[in-house]
Amino acid sequence: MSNELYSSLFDTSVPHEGTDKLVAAFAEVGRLRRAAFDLASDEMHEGIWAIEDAAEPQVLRYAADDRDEQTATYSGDGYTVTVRSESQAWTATLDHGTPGASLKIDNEWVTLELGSAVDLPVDALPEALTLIDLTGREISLGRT
Amino acid sequence: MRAVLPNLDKVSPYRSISPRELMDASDTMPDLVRSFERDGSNAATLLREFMRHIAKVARPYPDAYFALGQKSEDAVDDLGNRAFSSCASIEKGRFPFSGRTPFASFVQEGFDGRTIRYHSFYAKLSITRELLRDDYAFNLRRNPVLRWRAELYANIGAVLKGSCTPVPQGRGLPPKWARNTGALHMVRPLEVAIARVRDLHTDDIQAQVFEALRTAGPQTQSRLTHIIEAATGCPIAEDHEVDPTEDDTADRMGVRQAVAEAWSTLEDSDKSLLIALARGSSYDELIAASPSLNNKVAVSRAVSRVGSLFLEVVTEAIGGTADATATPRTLIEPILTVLAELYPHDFA
Repeated sequence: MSNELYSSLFDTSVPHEGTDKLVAAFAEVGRLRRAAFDLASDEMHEGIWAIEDAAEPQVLRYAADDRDEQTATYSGDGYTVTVRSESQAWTATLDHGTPGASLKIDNEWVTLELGSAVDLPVDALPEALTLIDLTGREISLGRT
Repeated sequence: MRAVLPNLDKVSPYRSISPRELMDASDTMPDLVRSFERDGSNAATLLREFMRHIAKVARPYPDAYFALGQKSEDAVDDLGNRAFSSCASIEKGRFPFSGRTPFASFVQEGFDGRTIRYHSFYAKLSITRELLRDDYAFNLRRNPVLRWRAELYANIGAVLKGSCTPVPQGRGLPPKWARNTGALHMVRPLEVAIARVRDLHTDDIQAQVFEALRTAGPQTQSRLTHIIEAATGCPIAEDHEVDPTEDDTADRMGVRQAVAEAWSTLEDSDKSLLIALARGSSYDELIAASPSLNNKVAVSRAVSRVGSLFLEVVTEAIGGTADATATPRTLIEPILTVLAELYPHDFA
């Protein structure tokens, strides 16, 4: 019975008299505030309008650059590699150094050939490249 | 016929742009925040940076998420200024702020620019999106069309809590809800669920919820709200203006004083009842918080005391009873706003 009395305060179809009318109005407004906040919070937590990824500043910088292709040269310990973007794909070309050396990109290995472009699994120009020579030595190539 | 040659010298970019400026790809955000935190310098540059990112974050959001329910340049500017103020001066309890202002946290934790932007703008729970959430919640209460959506959400919640089972999603996501019918159903796209609910031709919320869950599988409460809203349409087609009843009365010292004084006259069980009503709590939640209200006499007494010793006293103090145009709802709104300010733990 006490449950019915309490619940009736939220029921807009139940008539209330005297100060109970104010209490029922308080319940109605409270319920609406709670529902509004919960709905807004649910949508925020679900990320309905959220695109969490912000582009890297470097990507923004190159997006603003209207040259046809992007190129950078990396060098270190006698090796020179040119990375360029062509038709939305990235390639690497070994300009100087021993053929057969590999670039390590995350967990992928890309074997280089002197003067030939090979596909590179990157989305933007890296800050540096890691090259493994034929003896297994790891060489860091910086941008020049 | 005489050929007219263009004067290419006048349009050569190499003459007009010299020496050539190269773009600087370095990230300035950490230094801007650091210098602003140190002595308030670079505020204009930092604010400009904020505005740029907030304009991007705000792009997908509809009108309902902005001040006065309108997505205008002014509304986005206002959002940017408030996000900046919030980062500069409002301590946040949650991770990663731990009781510090966001700017102070960024400096003390040595965050890089990407992390600062993530927590300020782009994260699902960023400072900017919290403000958008609050504006949306405000509009949901004040705009007649949106208010209908909030009420629909509440009614759907009552059905879900009464007849469905929550399915946790984890990682701070709201639960999905499912019906334990025991039967296997092929899960259909949301568009099919909308069409099926529409074909019911009923206003019965429970029937609509069950049909949506049967067709589309487990759904969150907010997703169900959008399905049923899309299927049935909002019944209010005009007067989309935001309710002009603003919370300005809450700024009056008199209202605060009246609320604080009346609050102090209430017993603990009265206060528990008011808090439960303001939160839209169920009776079970009320009893869990205040076991003394576990009988009809106690509830009836508390309702009577809350009405006469608190709500009537406060509404009289703010002149509501003398205002012929005032409705119980317009009288209650400022009281709840002041309660949320005075006792945020219980009412905010």
